[in-house]
Amino acid sequence: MQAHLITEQTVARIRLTGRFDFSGHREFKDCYEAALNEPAVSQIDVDMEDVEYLDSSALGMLLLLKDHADARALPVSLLNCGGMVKEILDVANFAAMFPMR
Amino acid sequence: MELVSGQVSAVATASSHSVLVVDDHPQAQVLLSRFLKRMGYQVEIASNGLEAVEAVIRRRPDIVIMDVEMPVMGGYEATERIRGAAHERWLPIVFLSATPDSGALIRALERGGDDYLVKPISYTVLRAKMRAVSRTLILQRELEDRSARLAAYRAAEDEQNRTAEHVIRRLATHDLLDESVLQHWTAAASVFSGDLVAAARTPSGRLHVMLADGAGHGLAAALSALPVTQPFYRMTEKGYPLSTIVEEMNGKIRRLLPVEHFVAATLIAVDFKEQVIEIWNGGNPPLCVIGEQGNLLHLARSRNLALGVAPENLFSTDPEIYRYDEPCQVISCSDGLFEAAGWSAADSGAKLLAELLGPHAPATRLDRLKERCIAIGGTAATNDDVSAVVITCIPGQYAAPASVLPVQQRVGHVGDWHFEVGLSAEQLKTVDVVPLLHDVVSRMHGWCVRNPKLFLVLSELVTNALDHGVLGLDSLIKLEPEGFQRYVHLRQAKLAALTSGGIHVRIAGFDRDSRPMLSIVVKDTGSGFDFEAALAHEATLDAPYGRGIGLLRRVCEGVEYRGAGNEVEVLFAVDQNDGGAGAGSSD
Repeated sequence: MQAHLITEQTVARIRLTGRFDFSGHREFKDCYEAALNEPAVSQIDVDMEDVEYLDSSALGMLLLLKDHADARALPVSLLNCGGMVKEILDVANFAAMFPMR
Repeated sequence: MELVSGQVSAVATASSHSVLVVDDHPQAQVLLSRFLKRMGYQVEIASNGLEAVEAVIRRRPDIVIMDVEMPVMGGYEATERIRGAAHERWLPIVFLSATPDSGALIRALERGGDDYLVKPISYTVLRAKMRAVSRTLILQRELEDRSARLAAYRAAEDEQNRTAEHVIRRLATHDLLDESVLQHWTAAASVFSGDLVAAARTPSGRLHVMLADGAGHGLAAALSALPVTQPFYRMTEKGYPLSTIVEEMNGKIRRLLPVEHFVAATLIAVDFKEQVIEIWNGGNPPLCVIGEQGNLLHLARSRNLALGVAPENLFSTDPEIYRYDEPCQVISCSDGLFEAAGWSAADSGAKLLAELLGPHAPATRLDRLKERCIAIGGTAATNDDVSAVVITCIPGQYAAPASVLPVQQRVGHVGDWHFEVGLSAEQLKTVDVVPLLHDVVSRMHGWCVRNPKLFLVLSELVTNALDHGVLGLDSLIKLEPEGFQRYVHLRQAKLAALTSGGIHVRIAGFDRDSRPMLSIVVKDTGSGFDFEAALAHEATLDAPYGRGIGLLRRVCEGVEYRGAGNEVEVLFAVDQNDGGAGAGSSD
């Protein structure tokens, strides 16, 4: 998996590409830590458009991001969830934890 | 590598290696040892092969310089003996010989030597060779140290895995998985399974089944899933409902696990007498109820977050209810199985599951599922743990639990005791009254385990007082089509809206003719009922639902209604012990 951070003014967007599983742990963590360290950032979006698949450890990483963001009172949204990704998030009922756009 | 070569040159120039010089000429001994000491080596001397073998064993030198021709024992034989003793560390041996031809060199190397020097010794060559040997020796020692450390890690890990595997298996499994109505299967992607199946009976004979899937796989997942087992067994055995168990497990997982770890779980409660299945699904693929012909009767999709994700206020513990009136099977699987079978974890996947299993005889359906999984490559293909449970439900058949819980009593006289408890609307909404009362009585009598009949009696009395007394519900509703679900919803709504009214319970223990007895009085604030008419018609009245007066009379030695019918006292003999938790009606 690849993770890219694009910060535009106050919005930090983490764009993920490929299979989102434990092997992407370090990249994802580096990305969201960089986003959380930007003082100007007031919102974090995770763009799932190019994610082919995610497993339970990926769900765990999203929770970890949310936990850190909550501590800074930053909202976290999931963007462009479709197909299999949406299905997996639905089974996990993650809509209760993350707004999805 | 740079670091290693740096170390080599540093150490090789001021070597702390020890050298054993083996030569029978005192002059050679002196010259060699003086030269080597100047190079920084520690030097030992031996005068023949036999002494050399001894010195190697006792002093464990790092390098040996060995003359070939010596009295008592020559260099070749000594070398063979040293090699034959199979030291765990590499010991370089450099031969000294007066024979300069290549045949002698080859012979020396074949006999176990590592290098060869021709006499008379050129000290320039000796210095170069010693440096080369020391360099190789350092690399070799490092390699030996690393593989020894690796072997030690490996052994420690194997030992830890064995211990962990044992403890996890003991904690996770339970005898009641032997239930005849229950089939189950788990397959781990590694030594440890993050998927876990558990089953237990409540004191009144309801079957509770749990399929839990810790996030990830391997030891971390298995450790994550573990904390849910104890609340599941302990609270089921005490008779708590699914919602209370789920709430406790969620809190426990949140307290114990790191934030990114959670447990997807499906909890199923089957009341075989009432033909009611309760399902709570948090994060697992849809649970299917399919009929004998494979027709999909009900689909319980995940309506909740997995255990450990959400705080209490975001977490719903209400189970969904399905009442069966034909033979059917409840089938629940982890996402590893859906994936291994090539299905989506959404409704469409559940329909494929029903289609696959439908044409097959119910008893063979779990095997079909296994075959499908294995055909596709099983856990190796998905790298996820796989599990499935199948519960067979047949109306009119309510199998008693595989093992009836033994009632163990403290020997001897218990003495008189009593307690009273008044429960107002708030407690009735939040407290599981029956397990609470049962627990107190159990403790008074020092029982190690539950008494199913007492649990049944308390359930009857409390349900009557709450449902029919305080809430004013008519059990005839249950006889209507879809009546059971309606009754449950009506009960939930009425209870949620309750602001006044309550129940008063007094339980007293005493001995009568040396038999331990309980007097249980339950009084509610409802309007009562025409108990005289009910008692008079009891013989002819064969309704499946009512106030369970017949049942109370069978199990208790006295049943007496008072007032308007809103107060009842029963006498219960504690020492009756013919088991049969599932044998009675529960309403």
